[in-house]
Amino acid sequence: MMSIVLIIIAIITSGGALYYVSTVSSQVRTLSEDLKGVSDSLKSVSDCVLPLSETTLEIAEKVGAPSPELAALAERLIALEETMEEIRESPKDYIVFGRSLAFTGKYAKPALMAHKGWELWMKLVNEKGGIYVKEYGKKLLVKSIYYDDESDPATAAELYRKLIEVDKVDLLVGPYASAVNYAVQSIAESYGYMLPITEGTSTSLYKRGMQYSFMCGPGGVATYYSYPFMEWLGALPAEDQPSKVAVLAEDSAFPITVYEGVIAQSEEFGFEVVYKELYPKGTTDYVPMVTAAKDAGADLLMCGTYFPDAAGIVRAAKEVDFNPKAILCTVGPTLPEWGPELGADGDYIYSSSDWDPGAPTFGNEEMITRFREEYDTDPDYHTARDYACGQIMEAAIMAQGTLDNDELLDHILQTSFETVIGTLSIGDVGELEHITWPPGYVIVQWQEGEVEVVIPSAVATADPAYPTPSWGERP
Amino acid sequence: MNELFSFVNLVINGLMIGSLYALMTLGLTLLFGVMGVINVAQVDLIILSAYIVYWMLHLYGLSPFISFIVTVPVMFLIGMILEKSLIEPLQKRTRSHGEFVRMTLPVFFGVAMVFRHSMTALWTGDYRAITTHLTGKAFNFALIRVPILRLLCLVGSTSIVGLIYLYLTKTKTGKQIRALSQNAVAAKIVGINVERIRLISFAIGISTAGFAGYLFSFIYTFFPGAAGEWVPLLFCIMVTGGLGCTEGTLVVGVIFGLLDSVIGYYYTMALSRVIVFITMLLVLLFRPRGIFGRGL
Repeated sequence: MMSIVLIIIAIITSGGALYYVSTVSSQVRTLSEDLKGVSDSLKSVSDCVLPLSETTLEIAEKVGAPSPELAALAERLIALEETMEEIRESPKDYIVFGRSLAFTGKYAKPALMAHKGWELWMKLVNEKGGIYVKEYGKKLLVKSIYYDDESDPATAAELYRKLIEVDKVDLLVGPYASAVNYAVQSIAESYGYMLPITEGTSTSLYKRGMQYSFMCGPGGVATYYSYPFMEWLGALPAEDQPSKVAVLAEDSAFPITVYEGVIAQSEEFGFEVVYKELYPKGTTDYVPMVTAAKDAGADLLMCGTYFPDAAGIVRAAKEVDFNPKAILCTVGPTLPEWGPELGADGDYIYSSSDWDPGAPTFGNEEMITRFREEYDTDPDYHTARDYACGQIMEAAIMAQGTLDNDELLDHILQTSFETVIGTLSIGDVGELEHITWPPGYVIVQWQEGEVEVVIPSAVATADPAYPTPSWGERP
Repeated sequence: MNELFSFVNLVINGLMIGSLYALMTLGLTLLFGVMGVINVAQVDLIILSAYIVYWMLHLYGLSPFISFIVTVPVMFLIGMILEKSLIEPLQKRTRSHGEFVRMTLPVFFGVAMVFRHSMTALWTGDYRAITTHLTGKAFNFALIRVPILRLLCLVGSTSIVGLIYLYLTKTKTGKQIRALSQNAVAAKIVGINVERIRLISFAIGISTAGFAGYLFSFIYTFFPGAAGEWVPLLFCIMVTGGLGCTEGTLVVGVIFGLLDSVIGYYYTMALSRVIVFITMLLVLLFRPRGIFGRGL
C-alpha cells in the first residue's frame, strides 16, 4: 500500500518536474539562439578586420620608409575605412546590458520590484523600435543578461566579472543592496565599465573615490532617508515634539548609513539619542533591543531596516507595549505587502520613499499605467529608480551616439536628465555633495491599510496621523 | 524597579524563544544522531510548513492555530519520500558509513535548494506573515508581560521535545531507534527491522519541522530564502547539545535564547552570538560529543 502511494506521488512530482524542465529548456533554446547570433556577429567583425590589416601591411611594404605626412594620411584612411566598414556591415542588433540581482535570498522582494522597473523600461523602448545609436547608424533594440547573485556580495562580484569577460556586455546596471554594490564597484572600476547604481544608497559607496560608479537614484543618499521626517518633527510645537530617540539598524552598509543619518539629524534638530544599536544580519529576536529602547525612555523609534526586521521590530514593540510618538522603518513599509501581511499592526508606521506616484514627472504616468497592465500590481520606488536609470541610459546613448562607457559616463556626469523621479543631475563621481536630486525623499505612512504620502505637505495625500496612539488604544 | 521587571520579562522571553530554537533544531539532531544524516534542509522545510499554514489560512480559511494538523502529516510524508528516494539508495551505494555521512551534506544541500527555489518559483520572494487577533497581545501580571503567541511557542516546543524524548525512551520503536543509532549491525543481528526503523525515525525527524514551522509562522516573517540565516545557529545548538540528544537540545536552545535576550538587552545582539559560538567551540574542545552527548 505504502509503495503504491509513494509511486503515485513520484509520478505526480516527476510530471511536474518534466513540465518545468520543458519550459526551462525552451528558454535555454532561445538563449542559445541569441548566443549563436552574437558569435556570428563576432565572426563577421573579425572578417572585417582581417582584410584591413592586410591592406595596412601592403601599404607599409609599398611605401617603404614613408614620410610622416603620408603615414598619418594612411592611418586616417585606415581609420575612416574601419568606420565605414562598421557602418556598412554593422552586425550589431542589440544594446546588451548586464546585471546580477537578488532573485533569491534576503533582498529578493525589493530586487524583484527593481527588476520589473528595468524590464518595463526595456519593453517600452523596444516597442518604439529601440534606441538610435549614431555609431551604428541605426536603431538598436535593448536586452539584458541577468544572473542571480542570491543577495550575496561575493557571488555578485564574480557574476559581474563574468558579464564583462565572458558575456562581453555593452553596459552594466548595478545589483540590489548597498553591500552587494560595494563588492561590484571594484570589478566595474578595474575593467573601466560604467556602473549606474540604482539600488544602493549607502554613503560608503560614494565616498571611496570610485570613478566609474555613480548613483542613479534620487534625493541624495541613505543619510537623508529620515531627513524630511526629522525636519518635520523639529518644526512641531515644542510640546508635541519627541525628545528622546532610539535608533536601531541592521549592521550592513545601507542601514548603517540610515543610522548615522538619524544620529546626525537628532543633533541638528535637538533630540537626544538615548539608545542606539546595530544588530547583526541574521538576528532572530528583536524583543531585547525594543525593551532596551523602551526602558531608555525613547519616544521616537527610528529604524534602518529591510522587511523582515522591520516587521520583527514593530511586532516586538507591540509585545512589550512600547508606545513611542512615531516609528519609522526604512525598507519594508514601502513594499505593498506590508499592510496585507501585518494588518492593523502595520498602521501608523512611517517610511521613506524617493518617488511620488502622483508627481507630474517625465514618463511617470505612462510607467504606472503600463506597470499595472503588465504586472497587475502597483510599482514602488525601487521600480521607479530602475526605470529612471533606463531613461538616463536612453537619453545618454541618443545624445552621444555611442556605447562607449567612458564617453557615456562623461556625458552623464555633465548633464541633467528628465526621469520619472524628477530632474536628475549627477555631479563628479564619488563626491557626495553633488548627488542631489530634487524633490528628494517623501515620507509615507500606513493609514488604515493604505500607504499615504504625508510629508512634504506640497505632495501629501493625507495628513500625518501623529502622535501614534498607544497599542492599548488600537483595535 | 522597572529594570527588575524588564529583566524578568527578558528571562521569560529568552525561555520562550529559546524553546522554539530547540524545536527547530530537534529534526537536525535526531537525523544526525540516529542516521548520520546532515540535514541542512531542515530550516527550508520549516519555512515550507510556515507557507502551508499561510496558504491554508488564505485559501481555505483554516485557522492557523490548528493548522499543525496539516503541516505535521505533510512533513511526515515528505520525510518518508525523502528517505525512500534518497537515503535508502545512498545507503546502498556508498561503501562505508563514513562515506554515507559525508555524502548526506551535498545531498541535503541539494534538497534544500530544490525546496527553496521551488518556493520562490511558486510563491515569489514576497514576504509573508501570519497576523492573527492574538499577534502581539500579552498576558499582564503587574509589569510582567507574557506575549500569548510566544507562550504558545514555549508550551508547544517543550511538549513536542518532551513527547519525542518519551517516545525514544519508553516505547519499543523508540528503543529500537536508539539501538539503531548506537550500532546498526548489532541492531540488525538482534532482529530489528532496520529499514523500517530508519524510515520511521527519518519521517519523525522531518515531521518536527512541521510543528516548528507552525510555531515559526506566528513569530517571524518568512520568505523562501529565510532559512539561510538560521542554519548556523541551529547547527551550533545541535552540536553543543550533543548529537541526537533531545534533552541537550532543549537545554542548550533555551540557554542560547536566554543569552540572546539578556545580552541583547544589556550589551548587543552581536556579542550574544559571539558568546554562543565560542561556547560551541569550547564544548567541542572538551566534550566533542556535546554537553549532554552520549548518543540517544
